[in-house]
Amino acid sequence: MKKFLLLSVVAAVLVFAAGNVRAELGVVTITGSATLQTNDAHASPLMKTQSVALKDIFTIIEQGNGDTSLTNKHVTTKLYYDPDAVDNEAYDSLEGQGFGGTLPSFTGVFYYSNSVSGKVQLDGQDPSSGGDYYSYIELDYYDAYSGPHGFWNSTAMEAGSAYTESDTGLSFKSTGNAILYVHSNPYSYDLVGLESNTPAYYYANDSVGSYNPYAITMHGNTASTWSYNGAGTLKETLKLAGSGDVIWGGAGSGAFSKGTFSFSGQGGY
Amino acid sequence: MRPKVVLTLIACALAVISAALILKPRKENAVPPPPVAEAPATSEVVNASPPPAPAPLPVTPPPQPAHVMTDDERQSAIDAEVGRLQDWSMNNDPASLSNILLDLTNSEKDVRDAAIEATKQFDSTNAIPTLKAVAMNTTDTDEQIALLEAVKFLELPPLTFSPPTPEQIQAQQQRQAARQAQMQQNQNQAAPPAAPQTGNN
Repeated sequence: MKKFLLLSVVAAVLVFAAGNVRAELGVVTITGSATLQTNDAHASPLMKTQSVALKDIFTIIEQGNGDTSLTNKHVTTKLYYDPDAVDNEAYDSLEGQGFGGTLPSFTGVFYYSNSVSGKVQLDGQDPSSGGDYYSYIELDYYDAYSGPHGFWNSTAMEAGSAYTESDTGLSFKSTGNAILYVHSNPYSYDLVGLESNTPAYYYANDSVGSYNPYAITMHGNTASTWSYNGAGTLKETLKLAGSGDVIWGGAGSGAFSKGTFSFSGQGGY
Repeated sequence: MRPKVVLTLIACALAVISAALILKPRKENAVPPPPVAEAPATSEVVNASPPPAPAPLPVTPPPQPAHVMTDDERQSAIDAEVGRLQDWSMNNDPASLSNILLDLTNSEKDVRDAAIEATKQFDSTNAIPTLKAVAMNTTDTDEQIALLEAVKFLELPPLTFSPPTPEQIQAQQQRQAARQAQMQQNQNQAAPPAAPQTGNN
């Protein structure tokens, strides 16, 4: 009886906390395959498929912000994500750019960290342009358990999601769909559906929106988990598997396939 | 009493006495007890060494109860190993790869999953034989698929950097210039009008 009451109290606390879930930074890994077209003046066009790993994501960002430590082989750089952090800079800046009244509360912040540059947030307000918002990476999705993330817009991408709760009320699983966008032009962020009345996914090519010399976009299914240990620690994971576009400088554009985005974080709640 | 009776009694008594004397143990014919070994006197010891003391029996410590990790301890150990795998995956030395490959058969699934991801991030074809061998010996279908997918990933050539073409650079510069002009226009529109100047006659 006592155990039942205790679990009931814990479950009640967690239900309340669910609207305010909070996870610390967690490490992100990204992999996939980029198939680009090679054009030889003396041969027919060919397709070349190459593997994409985290070092290539750092190359995209470096092409945007000029931080050469990102691709320095003697420097260990990691990519971090905090899925539940409220991105006030995004909201404040975009509200000032004329989207006021239509913006949701943005959650989800990306960072990279190494011994040379320290911890660097991958979005913010550019002081040189009077506070215009910039971003190098976005992850947009709606989750039935934790709500909207990134620039998710119900008029522009999937909103279908489902979640399940364990009998103890201490663990949850969910599934849905997400868009991941990494790009070298910091002003080419994907305000999905907010810039037009036509719902649309974002494409990593220079015929839509701003120009990107280097970009990868991926769209697909997500699988998330939350585990509470009942003592104030929450562990959260997110996996995205999908495909999309790639732009790779002089190599042009092509298809990005077998893409994976993996996140695992832990912190207090 | 008749003399015969008296003589008979005397003869019996003499016989009893004689038997007792014959059967009585004599000291001079008793088997002496074996002599007790006596320690020699100190003054008699010259070069004799004392017998070696018997070797002490090995003391076996009582069996310690096996430490059973709590759930938190187990999770902390898993998280620590996953963190090490993430660090090793960003290196490029053989020792790091060796550590990663060892964890492909770790008893914890979270560690094995992290090891598979780490082999992909490390991006070395030297991991392929181990990945294939572990895939053949695993009974978890999903894990087998993940291991073989990692093999396919590593068999691909890595993406090489391709610098932008002059046309792409020019197009980017044009867009940046257009953006700067738009921002300047926005600032001019937002700036308050200059106050009119008044002259003195």
